[in-house]
Amino acid sequence: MSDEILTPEEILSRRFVSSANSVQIVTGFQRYERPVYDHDAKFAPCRAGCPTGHDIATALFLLSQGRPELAHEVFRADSPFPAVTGRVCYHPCESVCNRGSHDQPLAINALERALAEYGPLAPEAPAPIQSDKTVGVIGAGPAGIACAYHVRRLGYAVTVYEANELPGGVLQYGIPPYRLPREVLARELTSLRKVGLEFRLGTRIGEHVGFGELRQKHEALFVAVGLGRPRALDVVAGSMDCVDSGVAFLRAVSEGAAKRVSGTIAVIGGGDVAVDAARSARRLGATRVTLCCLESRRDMPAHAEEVEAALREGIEIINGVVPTAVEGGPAKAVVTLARVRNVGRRPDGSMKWSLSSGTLEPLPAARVLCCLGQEPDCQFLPAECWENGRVAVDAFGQTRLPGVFAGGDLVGLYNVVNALGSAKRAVVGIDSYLRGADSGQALPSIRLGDQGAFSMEAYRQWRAGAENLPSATEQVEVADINLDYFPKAPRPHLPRLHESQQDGSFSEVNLTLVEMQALAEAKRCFHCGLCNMCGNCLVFCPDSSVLPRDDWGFDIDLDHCKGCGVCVEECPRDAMSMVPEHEVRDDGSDQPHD
Amino acid sequence: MDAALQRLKIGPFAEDLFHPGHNACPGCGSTTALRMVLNACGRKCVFVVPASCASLYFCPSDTSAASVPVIHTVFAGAFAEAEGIAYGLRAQGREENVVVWAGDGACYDMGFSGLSGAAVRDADILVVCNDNEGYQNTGGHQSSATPQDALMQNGYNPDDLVGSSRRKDLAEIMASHGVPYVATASAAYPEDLSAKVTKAMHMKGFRFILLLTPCVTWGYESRVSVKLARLAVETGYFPLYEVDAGVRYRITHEPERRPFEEFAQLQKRLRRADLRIAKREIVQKWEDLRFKASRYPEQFHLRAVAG
Amino acid sequence: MDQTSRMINGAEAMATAFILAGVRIAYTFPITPQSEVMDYFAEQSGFTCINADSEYNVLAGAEGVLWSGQRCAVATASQGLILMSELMWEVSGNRLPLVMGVFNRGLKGPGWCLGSQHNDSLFMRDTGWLQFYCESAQEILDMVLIGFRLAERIQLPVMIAGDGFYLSHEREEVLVPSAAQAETFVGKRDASDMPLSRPPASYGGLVPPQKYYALFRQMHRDVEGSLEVFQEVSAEFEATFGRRYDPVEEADCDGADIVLISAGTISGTIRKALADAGNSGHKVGFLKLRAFRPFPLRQLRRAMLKGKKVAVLDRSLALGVGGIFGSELRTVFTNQPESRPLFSFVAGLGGLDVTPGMVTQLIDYVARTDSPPEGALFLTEAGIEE
Repeated sequence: MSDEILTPEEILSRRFVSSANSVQIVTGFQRYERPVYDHDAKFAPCRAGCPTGHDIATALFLLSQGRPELAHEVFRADSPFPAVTGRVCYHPCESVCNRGSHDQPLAINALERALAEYGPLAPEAPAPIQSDKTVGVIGAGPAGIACAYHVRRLGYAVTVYEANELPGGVLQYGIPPYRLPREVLARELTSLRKVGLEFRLGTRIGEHVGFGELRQKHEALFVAVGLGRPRALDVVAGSMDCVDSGVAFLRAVSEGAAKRVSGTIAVIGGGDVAVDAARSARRLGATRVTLCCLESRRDMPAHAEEVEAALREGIEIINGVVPTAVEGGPAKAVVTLARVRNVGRRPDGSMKWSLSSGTLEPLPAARVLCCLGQEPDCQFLPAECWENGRVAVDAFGQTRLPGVFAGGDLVGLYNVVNALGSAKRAVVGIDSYLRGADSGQALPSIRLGDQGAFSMEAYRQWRAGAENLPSATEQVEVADINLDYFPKAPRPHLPRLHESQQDGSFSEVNLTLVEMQALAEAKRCFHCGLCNMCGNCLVFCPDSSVLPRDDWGFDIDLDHCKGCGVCVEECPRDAMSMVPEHEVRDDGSDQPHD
Repeated sequence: MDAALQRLKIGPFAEDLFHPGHNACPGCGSTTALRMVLNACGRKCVFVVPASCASLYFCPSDTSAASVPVIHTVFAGAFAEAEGIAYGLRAQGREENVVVWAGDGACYDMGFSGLSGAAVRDADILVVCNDNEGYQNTGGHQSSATPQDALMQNGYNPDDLVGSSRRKDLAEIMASHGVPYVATASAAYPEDLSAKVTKAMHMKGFRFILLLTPCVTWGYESRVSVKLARLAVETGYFPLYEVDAGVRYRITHEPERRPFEEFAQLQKRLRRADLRIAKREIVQKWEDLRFKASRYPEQFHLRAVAG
Repeated sequence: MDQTSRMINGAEAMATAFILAGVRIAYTFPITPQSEVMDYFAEQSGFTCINADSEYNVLAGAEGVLWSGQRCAVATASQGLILMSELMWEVSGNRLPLVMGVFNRGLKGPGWCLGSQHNDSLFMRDTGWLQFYCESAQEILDMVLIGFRLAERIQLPVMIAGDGFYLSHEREEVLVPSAAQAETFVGKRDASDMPLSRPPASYGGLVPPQKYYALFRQMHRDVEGSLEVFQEVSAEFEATFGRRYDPVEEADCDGADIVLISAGTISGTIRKALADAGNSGHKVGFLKLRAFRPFPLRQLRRAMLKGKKVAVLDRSLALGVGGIFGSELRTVFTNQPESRPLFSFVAGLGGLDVTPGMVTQLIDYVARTDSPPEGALFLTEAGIEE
């Protein structure tokens, strides 16, 4: 009987030998909770905070691995021109970056620019046309281009109607070349044409083609004509020779038609247009540039980085003042400024204030540039579409006219990236409208956070009928990050041309990070909620129960996992969670979680 | 964006020489470290395991959890036995490394004389001490690796103030033997650990690596097992360093010197401990270490062989 | 014949035997009266002596050498042997064919004792080690060589014991075989079942009770079966070297009044006493016990039944019981149809001299006493007491 108990080897050698592989023993029965890779259910705050929902965590991971072209593709899934946004975006993503609570936020904007530069995209054929319905886009500004771009990728033929001779809107005619070189814009536009965007330039609605005509021709329209009419300064008396709108001035700069200036330039306004105008005036030869704005330094609507750049370039900023009179003459104008308080903004975008005590020296200026904001210059939309001076739209860009959508500055947004976001939401509206679907139905599967960001890739999968799309419902907070894996490190100093080297030219001031720096900075990213296959779970598992998958990521060997939780604790970036082993279902039954 | 990610090829991950199915506690700090050590050792070795938790988890229910031969032996006998195996193998012209995987019970206490003897004789073995600061296999009994005032099954009774004892500095004791290689390592620092094991595997003579491995008897939630190992290092309590030939000291990781409370408060066993004692000892230890490390310039250190 | 006659002591004979067998590694630790054995190893060129830090580690190291597939020389005595206790069980339990030489010496006990006593080797009688008692340096040398063959055939360790000082330090004429002869007789160890010659496995871990029992039962059978193997190996030894070693050696037992049983150097004293005294007319047969493990039960019974009475002379003491050989020899008659009165004597403890006169006293006592007392009889120069 004893001989049956011993293995043949043990009988032969007469010693105790254990040769069977321990893997046959199931140790998974003892756990009461198990790890799951739930990174599909998570999103990073940068993505939720990006109006156009860029998958920044993934893109920066790809960049950190030395694959900028893949990172570029990731950005292009959610927006048309990362090389542009990498220059002009005001990067709300950086303000919510989790790393900011640890040491310093990622230089996401600079990295977007770097990956576009170091990772040129492989030539791409236009997406096949999958519908005989077409879309018309009115206005080739950022919103219009973005809408056309996404819509074309969904398989609709799209035509963009643009009044100007060149596409781009504020990118072409507003933002000065030292912020956005025109070659960069041209390259992006060429690339966009190659993927099927069709532009009809020099075509103004109401002049060259009728709105009704377009409504007939296209099953859906997207209106993004921006705000074309600058507000005038109403305290100007006398000659208008020396008084200009900032917008017109910047347009001349963009067209290369701006004349040199000399002497003092006064800029009225505190927004980006004002700062752009001031810095451009400087470059055109002004000996002194004084920017006068209602808002305090802190409340200036212009981006802080722009204001700092202006100050570095020697522009004088006077906050908390309003011009009470401008005496216009043939060679100069004299601006009388008064101090203000209780500065506020009305719903239609115009400012209100009360005068305060204290007067300032009158300011003589060779030119006065008025940058007081813009109003829409759009006559073809009926009255019911308007509210408070802007076009009213729902969450998906649908105006009060069925089949007509709108976005960008025209709907009350501001900034390029917000325009991109509104255009992307409108694409969901347009696509649903054209397919007869309810745009709201897609939301649970695609929404990321509550600021309107969503994943275009998820939307495409959803509309293609993908079932059980994981919905990303959990934002990764810094408390979910295992900070032990991230020794404190500063962000890089962003390179730029020094003021002394600018030479009064319009050469680009901000420079791209050197590739090595960009990779290093991308490595600082937590990659919140993304599995980047760092392998910590596999390395630290006491039970050898984490196995790499063939495609991406890892699996848990549930026969052996004891549910100790070490993997989840050591995941640096919250790509895993522990869930109870038994979950009570809706019907009240207690079933093993599968 | 799985499609883009899948165009990256990350891996392959090294084959695991330690299989699942063993009966170590969930979150065992010892098996986490063992996996790393065994994978760095490779297949061309034989393990000698004295009485310890490992005596159970290497052979659960009459199976084997390791892809190398494992010889189990008595509590104090592993070091001479490993030495004997090495002598026998070398006499046959065989090159396999003989690795002892012993706990602090065997290294600090019962087998201390055997360990010292093997070191003095420059036995051609690698001893890896899995130091979890107590005889854990019997339920958490005090050893001379247990820190002062830690609550153990049979140790320090805070109401009687008897039973507490100091913890030996075994790494320094072994370094003072002047053996070819002594190092401390931790599973929380996998690259450092692997580099040290790999270096040791390419050397001859007596090599000793001390690992501080958390054990669930310390009284913590299993999931913080690796975190505790990391905190032990980052508080300065367990320095990571190596010593070549007993004299060339090199600190291999600069800890942040986080407050010792961060390590202590996660463990029930240190709840009644006077942390000032440990903190003083940490300061003294680092002063010592810095001095020793400054004696030899960097270029005279043997580099770890890239594995 | 390639054997050379040399005047050597038991220590040198023991060391020589290991060397002749081709062993080139020894784990050593000095202890009186064995230390000279290691000195002989140390002098030998091409021989690796590992001077361990204790006998415990001597046996651990030797076990390691055996695990690697090689042979190893080990010798010890007394305290050293007892210190090895834990490992003795492991070496036999792991079926490693180690051969160890022991020079018997008394244990500390009441105090340090240097003289011969058999308690040290007998302490290991339960462990599964085979053990043999020698009465001469020649026997030590020959039994070590036989021990290697036996151990490697049956895969059990073997202990060769001889009285400390009497054998270790006294010279006698010994016929020493040539290295070639000895190596041919001993052969090569077949280590194909050792861990590094097999697919990776776990050896000697936590064993389930059924297997533990099965392996112990197998070991028990193998210890019993080693008797036959020993006899086979002895026959081959006799054929090669001309000397015969049986598990027990009978002399004049047929029709004896008393069969006197003993082991070790006392055997020589007994033979002299029997030859000189004429035994006052008693017919006394002498049974020398060579193999204690395996316990040669049947050979002992056959020989013991030849006499009318049996007397056992032990150089050991199981406290509270009596001489150890005596205790085990009592079991020869258990459950048997025939038995004999058995007198159990203890003498020579701690190296106390056992003289021919004392042997004669013993014989007279046995002859005039019909019923042996229940307990042990203590024999000294002063006389016999219970």
